[in-house]
Amino acid sequence: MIQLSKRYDYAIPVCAGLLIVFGLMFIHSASCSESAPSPYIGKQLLWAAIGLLGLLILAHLDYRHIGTLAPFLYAAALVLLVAVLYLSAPLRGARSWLSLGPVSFQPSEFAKLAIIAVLAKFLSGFHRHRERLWFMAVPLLIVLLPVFLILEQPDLGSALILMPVLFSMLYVSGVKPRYLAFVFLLALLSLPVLWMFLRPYQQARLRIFINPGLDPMGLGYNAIQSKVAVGSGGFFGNGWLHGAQTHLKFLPERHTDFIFSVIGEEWGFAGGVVVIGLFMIIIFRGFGIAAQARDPFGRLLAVGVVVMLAAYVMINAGMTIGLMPITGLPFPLVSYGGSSLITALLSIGVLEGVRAKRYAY
Amino acid sequence: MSVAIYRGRTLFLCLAIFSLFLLLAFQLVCIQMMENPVLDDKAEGQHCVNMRVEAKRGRIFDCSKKVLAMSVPVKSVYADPKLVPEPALAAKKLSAVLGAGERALEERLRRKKRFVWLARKVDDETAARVDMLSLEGIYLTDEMKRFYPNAELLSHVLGFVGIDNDGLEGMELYADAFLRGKPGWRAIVRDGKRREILPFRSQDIPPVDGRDIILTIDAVIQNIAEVELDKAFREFNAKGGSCIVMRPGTGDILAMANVPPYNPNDVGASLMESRRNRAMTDMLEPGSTFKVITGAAALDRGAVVMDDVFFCENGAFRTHGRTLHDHHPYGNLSFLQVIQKSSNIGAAKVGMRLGEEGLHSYIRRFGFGEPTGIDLRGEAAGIVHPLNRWSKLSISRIPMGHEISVTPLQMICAVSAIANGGFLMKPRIIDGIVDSEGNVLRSFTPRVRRQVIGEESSRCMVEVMKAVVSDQGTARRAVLEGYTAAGKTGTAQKIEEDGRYSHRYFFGSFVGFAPADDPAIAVIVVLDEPRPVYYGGTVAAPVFRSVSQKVLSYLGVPQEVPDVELAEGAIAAGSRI
Repeated sequence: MIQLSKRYDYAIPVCAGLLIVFGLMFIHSASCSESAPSPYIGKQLLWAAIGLLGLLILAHLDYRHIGTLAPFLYAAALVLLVAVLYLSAPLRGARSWLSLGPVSFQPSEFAKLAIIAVLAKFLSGFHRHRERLWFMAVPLLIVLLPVFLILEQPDLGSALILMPVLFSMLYVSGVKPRYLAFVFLLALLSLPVLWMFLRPYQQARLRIFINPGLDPMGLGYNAIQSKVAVGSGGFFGNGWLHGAQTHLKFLPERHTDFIFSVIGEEWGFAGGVVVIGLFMIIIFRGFGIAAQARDPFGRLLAVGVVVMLAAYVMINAGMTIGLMPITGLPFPLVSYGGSSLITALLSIGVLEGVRAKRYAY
Repeated sequence: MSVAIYRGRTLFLCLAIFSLFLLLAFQLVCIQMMENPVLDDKAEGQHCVNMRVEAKRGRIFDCSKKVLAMSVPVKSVYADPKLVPEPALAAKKLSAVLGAGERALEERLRRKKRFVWLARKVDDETAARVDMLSLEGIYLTDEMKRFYPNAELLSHVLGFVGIDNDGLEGMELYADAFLRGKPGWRAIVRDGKRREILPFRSQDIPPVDGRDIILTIDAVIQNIAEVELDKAFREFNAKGGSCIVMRPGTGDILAMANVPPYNPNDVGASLMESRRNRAMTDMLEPGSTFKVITGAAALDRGAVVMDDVFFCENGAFRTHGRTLHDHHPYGNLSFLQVIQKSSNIGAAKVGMRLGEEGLHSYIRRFGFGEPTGIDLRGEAAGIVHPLNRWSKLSISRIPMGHEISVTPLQMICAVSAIANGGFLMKPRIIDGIVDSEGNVLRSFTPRVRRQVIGEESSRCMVEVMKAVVSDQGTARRAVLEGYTAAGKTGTAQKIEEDGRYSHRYFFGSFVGFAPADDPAIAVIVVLDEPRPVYYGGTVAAPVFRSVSQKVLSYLGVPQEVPDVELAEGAIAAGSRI
């Protein structure tokens, strides 16, 4: 029997592997036709392989190198986010995709990791100034600069997801709770200003979130159809490949943003709980890694990626069951899409890297 | 800050996220367990649709199974506005093809619905052009359109249907329950773009096609009646008119023509008043034609005999403070001559002999004041005042056809009773109802309503009416070649707005039958406001003649050779020997 090295956490990759397998199953269900299998399986497997390679490299690497590289990663992310605004062709009204030869990817996905890295680096240093209020301004700027660029695409979901990440990292870094409350209030007060910056369709989406019945055939359609799909699944679901909402194409964006609805319809409550449960294991163990991290940078890095993954799940699953407004965020590891899958696997790689060094002292 | 605080905060954050995930699970419980029945129904409701399959509407045939009304498949254009990417552009393109307003089309294409009609029942060419545009979200579907292959022919009797093929007028309305059939149902599954995916054929309830109606109408005779009536209608600048051809023995209606005509294939283009089946909906004072009813009644009651002579007061007869005039002053006239010359004074005296009660009861027995019971809707009953509302003048006016309103259909039924030996028949217009394979489901046999007068009275009245259609009578223009005809002219003054009899507007009418002693057909012709001439003998009798002449020959009724000619022929033959 092969002796597994105790450097690594094995529950996280096993859960991630199961989620990828479920993802492949439901990507197939959501996009196969009677005559042909899904055209996305092969590609998704390829992304998974690339992501796995990245995971192994990050797990093996000393994570502290990430700290050294963080400013450069952040700068590269900003360049890509500017480039995507000028060099990409809009797809469904958004400039989110950057093409490099035959491959196109979403810089906003990778940018999140760079932002987490640079935030972790900054928050883990400068101990002397931690007690000052102005100290808070820097991480805010670090996040708001790319958020502004991402909102220009526009990609509200990606911008939104950085907020819980920022607050969690500030909180864990030891910032005074009243500073945090101050920033939170500031953010709350800036909401009306933010509202004005939103595109009309984004405003409409938020209004529809409050009351999907306003436009059941138009903007409320996705929310209603998704809720109907999940709700008709019941406890055990209608069976894999037997979801009527999915196969009759009532569900929008079935293999990407609304994959959780497909699971809810075909595997019911049981499937939904299993998928969310697997994620909870990843997140719990991620927090465990953060708690045992050898230094504040490692802890912040781990908290950052764990909160990011949790926020993805919360926002994506929430939107399919009427808890969140509709945004174009994927379900990590499960939804079809290279950028998101690779980002999720890299995040796990970061976690394993932090874990690997916990006994170094 | 100590490591313990970091750990504490990490733990707290972990718990916060844990509770948020519990919220997710709670929402899953809510919608997948509590709301599951509702949402499951909702899902099934939008996937599975029971689609109505329209039944094919039955056809209407004439007595020799020529098609008078049928349903043909046509295309209709509809849109799913959600799937139309550019309503303005689509409206512009469609407007050019459909000929409809661009704005109206765009408004429809912008509606928040998943189904809007753009054009119903378009012709093949238009449908093909819409198809060529191949616009997103614009579709063609099959519908049935009612088609009347003979256009105007019999249109007032056939009636027409609405856009959804329900009978609105005429036979289409009367026999709607038989014609419409029963719609079927088809269970289908459809996808998010409303396309039909999986038909569950086993659950289909097929539609039951409508029944076919066979009429007693003969399209050839109908055509003769319409052509001849229309000629007179134009020649005498009339406002309207009717002509009915009936078999006196059975009450079968062979033709029921009205003018002005309309085309049931394009109902919208016609005026409401030209769609009326005037032959049964319009009431008129019959005028002199009614004298045959008075005469028949008086003969049958025994109030007069053929040899009775009436003094016609030399043209002016004063009763109850009013003077009754004749057209030409007459002295003594026999009973036959009173009707032959159409003396108003003579008719009044015949009526006075019969008495108020007798006249009233015979009028009612002849079927006036009640619908004839023809199998069509909207028949008028006419007006016959009850005895207690008769004035002192009534007994001298009703015998000549004043103070009473009748429909042409009532009049021809009454005259048919005189012609056939005294039997009032129910007019028969539906011969039978058959299914699409031609199996008879219901047949309609001739029905005697009652015997109105005795056979002897009938025979005498036929003699009198034969005398009318002669050089000595008022209907010289109704004389036929090869057949003897019997009949009566009528020229009735219409009522002016002030309630007085008009001296400008008249009904000119003629009712008769031929061959007189063994009648094959009875014909009534009524022209409304003919101008400048208006005498029934001038405007209506010629229509009777040409219609009867053609119809008798079409029916193959052998020509009668008058006895004199027969004798002459024998002599000629003999001399040659």
